Amino acid sequence: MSARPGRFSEQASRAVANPGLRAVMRRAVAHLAGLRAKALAAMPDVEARRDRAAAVRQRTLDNLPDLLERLEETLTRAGVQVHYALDAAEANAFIGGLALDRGVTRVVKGKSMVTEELGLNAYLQGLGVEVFETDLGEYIVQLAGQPPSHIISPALHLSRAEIADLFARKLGQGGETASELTQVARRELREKFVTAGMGVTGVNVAVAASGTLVLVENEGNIRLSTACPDIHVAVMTLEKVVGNFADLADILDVLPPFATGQTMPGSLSLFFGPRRLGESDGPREVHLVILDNGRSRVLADPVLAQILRCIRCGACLNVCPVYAAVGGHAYGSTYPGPMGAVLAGALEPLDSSVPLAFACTMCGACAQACPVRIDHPAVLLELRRRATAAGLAPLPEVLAWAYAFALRHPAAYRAAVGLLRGLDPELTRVAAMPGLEGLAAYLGQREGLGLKPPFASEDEKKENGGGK
Amino acid sequence: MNITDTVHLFVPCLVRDALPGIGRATLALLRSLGLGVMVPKDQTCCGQLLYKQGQGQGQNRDGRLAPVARRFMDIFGQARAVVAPSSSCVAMVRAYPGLFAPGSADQARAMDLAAKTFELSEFLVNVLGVTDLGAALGLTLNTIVIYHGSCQAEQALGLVESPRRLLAGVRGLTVLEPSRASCCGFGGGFSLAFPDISRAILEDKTADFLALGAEVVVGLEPSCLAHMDGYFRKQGLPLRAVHLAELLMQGLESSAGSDRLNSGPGVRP
Repeated sequence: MSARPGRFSEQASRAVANPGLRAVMRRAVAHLAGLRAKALAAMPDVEARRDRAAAVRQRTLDNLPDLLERLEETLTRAGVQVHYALDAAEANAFIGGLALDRGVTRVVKGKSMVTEELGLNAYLQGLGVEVFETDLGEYIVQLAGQPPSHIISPALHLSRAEIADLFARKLGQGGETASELTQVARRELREKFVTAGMGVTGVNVAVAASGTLVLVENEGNIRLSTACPDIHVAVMTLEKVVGNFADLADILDVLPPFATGQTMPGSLSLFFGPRRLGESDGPREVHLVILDNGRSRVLADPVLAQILRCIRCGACLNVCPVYAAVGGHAYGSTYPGPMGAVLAGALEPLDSSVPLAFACTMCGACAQACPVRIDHPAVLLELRRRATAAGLAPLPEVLAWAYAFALRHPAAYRAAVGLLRGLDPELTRVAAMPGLEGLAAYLGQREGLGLKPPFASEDEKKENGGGK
Repeated sequence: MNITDTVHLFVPCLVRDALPGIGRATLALLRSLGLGVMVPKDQTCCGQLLYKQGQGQGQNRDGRLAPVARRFMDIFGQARAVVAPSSSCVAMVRAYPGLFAPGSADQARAMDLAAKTFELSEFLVNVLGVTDLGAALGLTLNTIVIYHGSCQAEQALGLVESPRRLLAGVRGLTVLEPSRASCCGFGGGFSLAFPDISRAILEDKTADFLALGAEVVVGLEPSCLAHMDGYFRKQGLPLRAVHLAELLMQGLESSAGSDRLNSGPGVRP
């Protein structure tokens, strides 16, 4: 069965019981977090950059309808065909319909999380269209038949040995070093670029004033995916738009450093429309699909809206203790980690995403790492409140009621604790009650926890005859 | 605040009934500096567990948690200053204003309380201006400790300087930092809902502590410390987790002759 947010608990337990995965995650996450920390330490104006980027993203949310109208206008003038899709079904139907209409049988893709959200690969394959991921990490997970486990490094959860084994099995070509394996993928993919009829990419930023689609990458595969095929289809969720080039610069000031510790990306592509007369390459047709898929509803929510500031740098994943322990697949949502848990809570029905809201230690590392100052724990706390109000909280209502009652009635509270101290000081019997398996497991891992003779004030001691 | 003033000691529920040594050490530490300390009767719990489980505020405004906060304000409202040996409980009190309607009398009272409630090290260093406690009390400890900055101390309260300042003043003490500041995996209800994940996170933290050669993990958060110490004991590791107040009081005792550093927060009196 495929992973689902509602089954997070089982999926996570299975993940942490896998020592190979744990070892890979430990190394990979520490590496990514280290790259970022090193880059930021050498950046004296990092807080000012975060302020500017957060302000740009907030301006987008405050002026979204106007910016989208302007973007459509400038893109249309540049010869880009703009399409709005209310949900994944509409977006897929459009892209699939275009492929069939133009006789496209092979699609190459740049790495994009939004097409993961659409389930586009499976949809196109269902229509008989071949789809090839061309980002190395995406290529690897596609070969493995898995979804990406990280929004920046899709194959983060796989070791080099696992990848070598995968290549040997699926491609019949081996390799030892990362460089040899990359060469294998490169040879395989070259032929796909030149024979594909359509290139599909995401969008990092769309600039409304100039009608420019901006893509950030390190491998050059997005350039090939957009330069070789005759048709380029870019897909973005509606909040990716910004006003002008100054805004774009403010985003680019934080995106590479927070994502990978780079001051500049390997490739920065600015698309100004289809091939013009006299140009020798580039797509003859460019389409932009602007996807809502629940965003306009989230935009209207005073607490949840801030997640739409997200620029998908992955910094929050790299510092999250839960993500580092369980990896991306355990989440069962398109986007994993803190931003994924928030987004799942915002976009998906509350009952299916509830476990993700509670799968957080509230440590706050994500908020501290976020370049656009999203307060993930605050949003997750709000999602917990909504789950509680909807009767979906994991804490049984009767326990919550009894606990709150005891907190307001010290005599009852003391009596209850005193009774427990007398009968079950190590709480083993309490933990054996049905529904408290988590407490039992927790206590079973520990020694010396339990109730002790209480710390009491002098007044209390006097009232109790001097003893403690 | 003046060193001759009287402060109110806020005793977190976990400290009172499961980790009383932290309460005793805190009381003794404050008194050793000459402060008067009131321990109000009938304290229960600040309500943090319910709050983090989504039982307060928002759509439940003035529901389950607001009465708990009102009661807390009745007990501590008259204090000059409220001091607690727990960063997360102080963070809870500082979140009380959000439980009440903006502009209400309750919210004003909650804001007043939030402004005068302090974590122990924060109170000593930032309020009283005790910068060299070691010298003030003549503390000596020959131990290698690692300071674990609990998330609620570092992130929620922004307490980075004060605990390190107090540790730096103890003669003989070697103070290490973990290779990466990060969560211990406790997270209150989180560790009970997801004990496997919680344990995985702590395993990695523990490996780091041991690799760095620490003998004692010291911090400001009783719950995280109990979480770690209970695991260290079960695993039979040569590591203890103790609260800053306990460590400092041990320094005081050991300076006075007796050397004892085996009592984790779960130690029995």
